[in-house]
Amino acid sequence: MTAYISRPDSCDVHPAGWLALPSGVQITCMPLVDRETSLYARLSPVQAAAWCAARGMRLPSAQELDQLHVRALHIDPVTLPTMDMLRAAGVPTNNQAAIDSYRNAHMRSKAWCEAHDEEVSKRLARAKWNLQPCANCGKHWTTAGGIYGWWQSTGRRIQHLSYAHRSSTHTDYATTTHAVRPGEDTGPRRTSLGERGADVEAWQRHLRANGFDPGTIDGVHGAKTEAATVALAASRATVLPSAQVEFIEARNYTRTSRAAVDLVVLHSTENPIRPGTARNVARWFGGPSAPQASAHYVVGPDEVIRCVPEQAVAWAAPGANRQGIQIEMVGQAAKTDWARDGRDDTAGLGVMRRSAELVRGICERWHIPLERVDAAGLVAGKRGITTHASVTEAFKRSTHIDPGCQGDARWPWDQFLAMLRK
Amino acid sequence: MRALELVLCLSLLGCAGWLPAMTAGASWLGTLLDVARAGADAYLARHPSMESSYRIDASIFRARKALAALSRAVAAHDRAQAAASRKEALDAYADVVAALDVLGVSAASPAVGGAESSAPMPAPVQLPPVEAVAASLEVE
Repeated sequence: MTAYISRPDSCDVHPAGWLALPSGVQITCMPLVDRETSLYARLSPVQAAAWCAARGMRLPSAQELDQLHVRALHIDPVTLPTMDMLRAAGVPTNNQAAIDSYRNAHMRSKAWCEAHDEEVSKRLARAKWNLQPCANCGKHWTTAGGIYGWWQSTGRRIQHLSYAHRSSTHTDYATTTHAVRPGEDTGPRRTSLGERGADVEAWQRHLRANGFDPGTIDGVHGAKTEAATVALAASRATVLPSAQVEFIEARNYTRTSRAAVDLVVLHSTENPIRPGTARNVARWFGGPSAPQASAHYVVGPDEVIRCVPEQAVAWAAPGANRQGIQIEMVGQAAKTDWARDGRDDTAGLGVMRRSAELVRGICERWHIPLERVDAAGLVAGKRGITTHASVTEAFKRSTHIDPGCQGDARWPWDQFLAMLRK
Repeated sequence: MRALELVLCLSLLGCAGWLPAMTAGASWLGTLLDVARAGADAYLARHPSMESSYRIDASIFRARKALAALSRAVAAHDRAQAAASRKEALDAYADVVAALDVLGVSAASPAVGGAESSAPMPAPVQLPPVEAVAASLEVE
């Protein structure tokens, strides 16, 4: 029987996308898929490694697969052949040698891949899967060319970290591939007006590759390069209007239809600022292990995700839930420098800028004044923009002090209000 | 299951001398992990945090895995494997204790930020030091 192997150029990342791991790298939430057949991609270890390398990715380590496993929705692994398959094939169900022979003859066939994936789909549907990471949709190739996966409640796990006893072209019905990519923008350093040298040249190439003309690639950061740099920064700061912001619904909030909103409440998620984090937080709010908490929006350095309709009540700041719209900004109250631009995970200006765009739209829709409301103002019933720290101080029903610590000491109110009113 | 192993072990004639102590220690460690889990859940109910949840889940997951390996080694009367699993279990337990300390769960100190729920305020989680657990798992 012909062994079924995917064509590498028809393989792609699953629409479920990526999950950030603690190290900062991102791993695919689901195994790669084969567009031609709509099956999970069946690639040999050599093909899988080459597919990743050609796209600036790599195969995950066993440890990274473990980290994915901890965060994932779990389904039971699919083991073939089933009793029905044996009966249909006329294989005696009490003869292990005959079963093994049948299994070895068919385990690499397309039919078995289809049977496996169909059963995985059923299990995902039963688990009410919603694009979050999922474990046990196969076993996976690792960096060492080994295979790893299928963690069962019994403690049994397939783990052949070296797979030397198989050929380099091996696949079978349950052999799938995850990929890992760098979590942070690894582009060149942003240079400044007047600089010269190799860094400038690299930055100019980066600008051109992103569709912004820096003039001649000459290693001199002049007026044209500066204009292209500003244009690139502006393009990344743009926030889509609310109607176009992606909606990943939180699991827990009060489904109501408010006629009025008095406050916009700012929070920090307490995550380092990294691409993909807003989406991960939103998925967490909406996933199977969702907390008894939520926010209307999560704002990251790369995107804004809506989790709760504005008319409904999110659960984020006791004392100001009923009358507020809650904004979770990716960042850390005690570490993020909200006024600083940069590529590192404590530079918060990009997130603050996106948040300002978002808050301005919310305030327009709900006729909320573009004004700061501190703790005293909250007690007095003023309308405007406030922070979780102020809510804590005013109502004594919460304890958090985000996004800028006690008294908003680290939150740049002047700069934020200037952005809002621009 | 751990209690059953203990009973079985004690009832076996000729059972190696180190087994009952190891089994009892493993049983205690399992209970401590249950306490850690319950304490962390109460904390995270009030102060939900994706990052903290992940770290706590990962550390408890590692400890339970090590404990399972230890139980298997004890059941198989495999002293060498039991010693290796004991070390891993203690390392993993130390990770759990450290995670709960760093994240403020042990002292029930409030999180700095993130969404906050109306769940009851958590109580402190007091776990014995690693040395005490290590002593309970001594084989000599």
